Amino acid sequence: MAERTREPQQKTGESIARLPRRLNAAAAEPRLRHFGAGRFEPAWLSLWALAIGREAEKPLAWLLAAAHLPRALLIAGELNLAPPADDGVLLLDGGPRPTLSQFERWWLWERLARPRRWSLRVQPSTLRAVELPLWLGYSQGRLGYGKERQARLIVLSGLSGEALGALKPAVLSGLRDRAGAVPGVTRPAAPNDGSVPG
Amino acid sequence: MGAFTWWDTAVLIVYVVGIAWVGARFGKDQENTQDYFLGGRKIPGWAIGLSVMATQASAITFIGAPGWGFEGGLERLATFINVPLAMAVLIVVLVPIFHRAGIYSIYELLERRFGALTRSLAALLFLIARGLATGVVLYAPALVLSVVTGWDVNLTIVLMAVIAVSYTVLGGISAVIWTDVIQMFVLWLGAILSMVLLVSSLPGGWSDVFDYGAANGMFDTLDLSIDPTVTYSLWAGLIGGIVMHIAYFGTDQSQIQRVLTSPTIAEGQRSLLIGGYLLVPQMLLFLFIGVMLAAYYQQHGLTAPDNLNELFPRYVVNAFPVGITGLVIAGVFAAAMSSLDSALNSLSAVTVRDFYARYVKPEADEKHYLKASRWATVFWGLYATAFAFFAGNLGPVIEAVNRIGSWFYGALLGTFLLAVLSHRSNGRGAVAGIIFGMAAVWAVSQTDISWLYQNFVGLIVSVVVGYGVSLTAPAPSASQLTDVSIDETAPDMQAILKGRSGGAAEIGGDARLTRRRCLGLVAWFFISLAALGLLQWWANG
Repeated sequence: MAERTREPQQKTGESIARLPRRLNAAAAEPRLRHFGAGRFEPAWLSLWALAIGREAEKPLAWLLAAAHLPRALLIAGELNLAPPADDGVLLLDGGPRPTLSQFERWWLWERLARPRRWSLRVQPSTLRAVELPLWLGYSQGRLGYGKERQARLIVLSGLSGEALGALKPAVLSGLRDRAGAVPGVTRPAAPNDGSVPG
Repeated sequence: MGAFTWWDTAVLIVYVVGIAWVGARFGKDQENTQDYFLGGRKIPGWAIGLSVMATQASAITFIGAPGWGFEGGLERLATFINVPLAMAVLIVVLVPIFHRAGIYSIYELLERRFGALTRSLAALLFLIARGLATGVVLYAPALVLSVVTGWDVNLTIVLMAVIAVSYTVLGGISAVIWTDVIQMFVLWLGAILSMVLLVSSLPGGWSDVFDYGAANGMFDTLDLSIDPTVTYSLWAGLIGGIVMHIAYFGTDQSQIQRVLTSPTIAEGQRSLLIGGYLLVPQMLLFLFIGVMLAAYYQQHGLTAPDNLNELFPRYVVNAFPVGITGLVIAGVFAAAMSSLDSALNSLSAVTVRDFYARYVKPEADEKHYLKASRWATVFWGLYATAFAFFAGNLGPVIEAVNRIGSWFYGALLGTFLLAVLSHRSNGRGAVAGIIFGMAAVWAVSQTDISWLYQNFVGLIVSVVVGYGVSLTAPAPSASQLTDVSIDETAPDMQAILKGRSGGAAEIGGDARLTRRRCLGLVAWFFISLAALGLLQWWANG
C-alpha cells in the first residue's frame, strides 16, 4: 500500500487538494464485503473539479471529471478540500484535464435530462485538480465452466461509500499505467470518436 | 352529492394553485437545490418511490383501470403480474451497465456499441412511441374535464394540451417530490373512498360484490390457456408482458431517465424496486373498483357509458361528497400534469441531444439548446394533441398506452440485449434487427394473436436476425465493448488485479453477493400469483 506514482504538483503545476475521506476502513469493509470483495485497500484518484453556481456567488455543487470520462460526477455543496499528505496510499491518475466546453456540455446534458436549475452555470475560474478518496475492493470472482477465477475490482467512494461503477475504467486505466502495461483496452471511447460529447 | 358543484370547483382551483405555489416556492430555495444535486437523497425512499409512481401512470391507472376491470374483471392483471420479475431483471442486468457507462440518454450506449445509425434509429422509435402514448396521457385528464364540465372532449384536449405545454415550458413542478407524494395519496384516498361508498350503496355490501364477481368470472385472473389468441392468458402476461415491462422501464428514456440521473446505482435501483412492489397491488385495487362498479351498475339497473374511460370519473362526480369530488379530480389533474411534464421533457431532451445537437447544430451554446428544447416541447405537445383526438377510439386508456408500446418495445429491447449480452453483434446486425423486429411485430399485429405477444416476437426476431446479420460483418473492436464488457477480464489486467489483491488487506468473514432485494421481488411475484390463484379457486367454488 505504501506507494505514490507521482508528485502532487505534477498534474498542472499547481497543488492538488484532497477531498476528505469520510468513510474509514471499518465502514468500508462491510460495504465491500457486500459486493463480494475479499481484500481491500484505500486509493486516491486525481480528477478535475469545476464549480456550479450563480455568477460570482458561492458554488452550489461541483462537477468532477477527466477528459476521457463519458460523464462527470456531480457533488453537492462545498468540497471541503484539504492539503495533500504523503500517507503512502495508492495514488492513481484519473486522466487529462477536460476542456471548459466539455464541462459546459456535461452540465447542459445534466439539466436536459432533469430540467431545472437553468440559472446555474459552470464557474470557469474554479477549475482545479482534486484527489477523490476511493476504496478498492478485490474479489476472486466465481469459477466458470472450464474457466479460471476472474479477479474483479469494486470501486467505492471514500466520500459516500457508494459503488462508483462509472469510475472503474479510469481506475483500471490508472492501475495499468502504474504497472507500465499497454493502455487502450480499458479506456472508454475517446470524446472525438464521433459520438456527442458528454 | 350528484354533481360537480361550485365547492368542488373551488377545491380544484385551490388545490391546483396550491400545488403550483409549493412547486414554485420550494423549487427555488437552497434546500431544493441540494435535493436536485443529491437526487433527493435526504428524502425518504418511500416518498421517492411514490413520486416515481405518480409520474409513471397514476392518472392513466385511475381513469383507465376501473373501466378495464368493469369490462373484463381481474383477468387484465395478467398484463402486470410480471412487473416484479421485470424489475428484478432490470436491477440485476441493465441498471448497473447503464450506470457504469455514464450516459445521459439511454440511446448513447447504442452509439458507442453499434454506431450513430443505431442510436438514431432507436431514439426515433422512442420519439414516435412515447409521442403517441403521450397523446393518450393527454386524453385522460381532458376526458375528466369533459365529464366535469360537460364540454366537448376535443375542446378539453386542446385546453389540456395548452396547459401541459405551458406548464412544461415554464419549468413544471415535478422536481418537488412531496407534491407528487400528495397526489398519490389523494388518488388512493379517492380509490378507497369509492370502495367504501360502493359497498355501502349495495344492499348486501361486500357479499354482493364477491357474489357478482364470482358469478360472472371476474375473479378468473389466471387463464392457463396456451392458445396465443387468448389476450390475457397467464402465458401472454409472463412471456409478452415481461418483455413489455423490461423494455418500458429499461429502454424508454422517459422512464429510465430518473434512474440515469440518480446519483448512485443503489438509488436508481431503489426507484425501480418500489414500483416492483407497489404497481401490482395498485393495479389490483383499481381493477377491483371496476368489478365493484359492475356490481353497482347491475344492482341499480344502470347503463354503462359507451366510453368506459368515463366510468370512474362519472362515479366520482356523482357519488362523492361535495368538496371531496373536487379534491380527487384535482389529484387526477395534478398527477396527469406530472406524467405529461415528465414525458414532454424526455421527448424534448432526446430530440435536442440525439438529433438537434448531433445533426443540426452541434456547436451551439447553452441558451440556444434551451430554446431548442422549448420548441421541441411545443412540437411534441402538438404531436400528442393530434393523436389524443383518436385516443378515445382505442378503448381503456391503460390498455391503449400498453398496446402502443408493444408495437415498438420488443425490437428496442432486442437491440439493447444484443448490445449488452452479445460481444459478437455489431452495427449492421443491430439495424437489421430493429427493422426485421418491427416488421415481425407488424405482421403479428395483423393476426388474432394477443397483442402482448408482439413484444416477445419483436424481441426474438430482432435478437436472432441481429445476431445472424452481425456474422456477415467484422466483430466489434475492443473499444466498442468497453461499456458492456467487464473491464478487468483482459489477461494483463487480471495479473495486475491479482498482484494488487495480494498486497491488500483481507476482509473478514465470508464474501458473498447479496441479491436479497431481487429475491424479494421474485418472492413477491409468487405471493401475488398464489393470492390470485386462491381468489380464483374460491370464486369457482
